Amino acid sequence: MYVVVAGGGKVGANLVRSLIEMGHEVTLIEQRRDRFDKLEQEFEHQVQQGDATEVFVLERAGITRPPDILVAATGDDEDNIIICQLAREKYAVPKVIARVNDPRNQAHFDLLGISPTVCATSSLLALVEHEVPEHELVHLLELRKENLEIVEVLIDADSPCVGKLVDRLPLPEGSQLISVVRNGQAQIADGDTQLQAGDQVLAILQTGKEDELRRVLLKA
Amino acid sequence: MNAIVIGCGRVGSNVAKRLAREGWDVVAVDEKEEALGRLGESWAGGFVVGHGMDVDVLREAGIEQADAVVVSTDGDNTNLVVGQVAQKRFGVDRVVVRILDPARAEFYESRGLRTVCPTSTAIDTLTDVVLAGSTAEPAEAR
Repeated sequence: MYVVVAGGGKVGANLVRSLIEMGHEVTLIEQRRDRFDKLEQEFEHQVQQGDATEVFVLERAGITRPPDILVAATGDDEDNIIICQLAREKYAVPKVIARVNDPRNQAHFDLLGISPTVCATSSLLALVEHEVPEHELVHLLELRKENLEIVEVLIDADSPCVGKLVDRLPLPEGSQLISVVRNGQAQIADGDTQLQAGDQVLAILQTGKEDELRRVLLKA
Repeated sequence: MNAIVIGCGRVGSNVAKRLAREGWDVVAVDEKEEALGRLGESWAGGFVVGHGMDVDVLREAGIEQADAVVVSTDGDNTNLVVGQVAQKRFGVDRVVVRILDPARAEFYESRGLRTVCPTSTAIDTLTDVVLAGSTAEPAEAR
């Protein structure tokens, strides 16, 4: 595959190194001269210097072929959004992937239809939340393109679902329980699984069904 | 009529002052508090310190009631994103953004975002003056 990567910081450079090892054809674009000089020693002709939001820089990097994938991995969210919009809408790149630096900017990527996105901060935060004992509902994974998300719910003693069989739960349409972790033992949730206080339940659901699921599994 | 001017530098501050003189209620937004000084001592409009990418800042500036939004920070890409957010998320009809790069200005203009590119204007004017030859010289130079 031919991949263009914009931004040669730690994320971009490590990505490019791995892609080259896997045998892919890659062009990396880095704006900063000092970074570019270092990257050039390692990647030689596979790195170009310039601002990847400038169309002539993108064109020099082969964006008109077009590449199979463009990854916008700069440390600037505005730049990543513009790079993805130009790639997809001006040059018909079939797939763009964007790095989100500040999770508060996620809504802007979503608004402009830039997907998939990867935000290290959000991923770390979800993992930290997962460790907090009092958490009630944690987002573990968002499948934006599929419009699905996987959440973890901690069932407490007051929950309306305690003692009920999964079959009998009025789960919202477009949601399903995946597994139950009880006393450190995981089991796949089926219709005969009876929920207990202290269970950690994994559920998959359509985006937007979260509040309905919360009402069924947690306090009303 | 309500207007928000995001980016209160040389361009933004003067746009804000002219709109205010025309009777508009104007709120200026800038990352730096010092930018307030560009609006002059008699500035009676609003001023919010913050970044245009921050939706809370836009709300504080009154974007939900804005009739027009002018985006003129020193970052083309920031302007393009903030302009699209004003247009698509908040449904502001009259959005205009200042873009220095002619290529990006042209592309986003073609996608329905009103852009103004001072670089293109300069290129056209400078070229036209040269091509027009002696007739373009100021009268007193002759």
